[in-house]
Amino acid sequence: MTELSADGVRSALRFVFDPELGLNVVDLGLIRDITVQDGYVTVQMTLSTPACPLAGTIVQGVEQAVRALEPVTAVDVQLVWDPPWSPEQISPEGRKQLGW
Amino acid sequence: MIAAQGLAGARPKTPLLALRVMGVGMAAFLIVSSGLALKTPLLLGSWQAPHLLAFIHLALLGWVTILSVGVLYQMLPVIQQVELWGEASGPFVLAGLAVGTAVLAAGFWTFRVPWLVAGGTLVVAALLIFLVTMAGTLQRVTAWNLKGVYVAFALGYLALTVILGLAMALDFRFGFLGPTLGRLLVVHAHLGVIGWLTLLIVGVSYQLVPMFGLAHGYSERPARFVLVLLNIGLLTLAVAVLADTTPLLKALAALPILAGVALYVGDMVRIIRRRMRRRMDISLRYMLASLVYLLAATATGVGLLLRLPVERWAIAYGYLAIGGWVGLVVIGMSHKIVPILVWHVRFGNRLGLEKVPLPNDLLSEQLGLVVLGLWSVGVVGAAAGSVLRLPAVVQVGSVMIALAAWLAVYNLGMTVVARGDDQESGG
Repeated sequence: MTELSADGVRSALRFVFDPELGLNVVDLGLIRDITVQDGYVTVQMTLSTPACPLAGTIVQGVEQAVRALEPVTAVDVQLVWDPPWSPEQISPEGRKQLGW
Repeated sequence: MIAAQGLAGARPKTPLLALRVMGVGMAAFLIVSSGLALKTPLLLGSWQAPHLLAFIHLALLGWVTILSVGVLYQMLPVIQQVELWGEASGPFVLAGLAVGTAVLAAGFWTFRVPWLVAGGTLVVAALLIFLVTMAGTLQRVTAWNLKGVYVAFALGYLALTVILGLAMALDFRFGFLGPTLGRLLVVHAHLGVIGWLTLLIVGVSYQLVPMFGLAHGYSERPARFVLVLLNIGLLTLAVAVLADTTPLLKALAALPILAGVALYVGDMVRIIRRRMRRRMDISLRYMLASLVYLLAATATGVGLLLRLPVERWAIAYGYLAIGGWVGLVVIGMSHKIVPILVWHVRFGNRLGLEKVPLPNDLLSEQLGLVVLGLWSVGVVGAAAGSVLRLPAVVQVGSVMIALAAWLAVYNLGMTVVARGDDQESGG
């Protein structure tokens, strides 16, 4: 059985997109922290605004993407708002995609 | 396990209802735009002609208000971060509003007073349920934000508008309003278009435009002044019209509205220029175009108060305000909201599990821009033709508007079947 790492989870999350912006949640800077312990994965993430109409869908997408990884046994996605998201948190790759 | 603290209400819970709302609204949109293209002599007559009033009510209630009501069921919880209260009221409001508007429009078309009263009563009843739902939701708010305040004022003006409308319908039967009826009609129209629709659009645009453009770090002060100016202007304008003061005093009473509109337009342009997402979204292009019409409509309104000939300019004023300002915003937002709703139903559950298209991939942006061009030019044509009394120009403008409406509905309808897999995908 391959060992799962936080980097592995992060790579998987690069395939979860903010549907409105078309940018993945990692490059958008929404993922704050990932911990992996004995197949139990905790993801701390934020949203570009607490009033994001697709918040539930994005959080569910993150949860589904992590759950699909081997050997994950449980997933805990936590939304955090402090500090609030700002555009400075977008990765250089993400900025390029947004046309900066 | 998902811990979604702080996410109260921030989920599209009723996308299927919202799509039904869109369906009803789009049907009214097609009837009005096609009907006016077939009945262009109406656009060269009086703005108070019953047939024209039928179209105006079908447009403002059946298309714009139904969509706005649907949007608020989704957006108010998002704007104020509260759970929606009385969500089950949605289908009743939609049904009452749709049937009531149809009866009301038929009442104007045939000028049957009982139909006007019955349709108006049904509309008021449906909107009363809607207003109670919104009031119950707002009662849950512990920390108000400016956008929520805008919506609350808009809802208040909606109540005033429809109550005044019903009173006028009853006046056709009982004749209790006397010579003030004509003045009340002007107040009713402005409460509806400025108080209800413009305040709602302005408030929601302060929520959505920065969100769609990723604009951060701008001051909220101008938005506060805009709210104050529009409210004061609407109140002073209503008093001046009801008191039937001199043209100059009426124009002075409307100046706060002109100032509020100018400030809003400048502020929106500033926010759009500050966006981090450089590629301009289609809804933002519609928004920018609509701002030009908002300025033109406001200037025309002040001109009418200063004695521009009503018989030549009133219909042009309506075209600029309803078709240009309100219409372009609604069509633009539809191009944004419909793909997201459809995407949510078709692909939302598959995000993170497999490759899914993005909402924008479900729509042809090029066709959306063609619609923007046709509609914009058509509105100018219909308005100019009405002012200059040129039937051929009115006809061409009206046909362009109708064509734009059908193309827009086709484009939006195709999102239901579009594969959207020929562009960038995620998941």
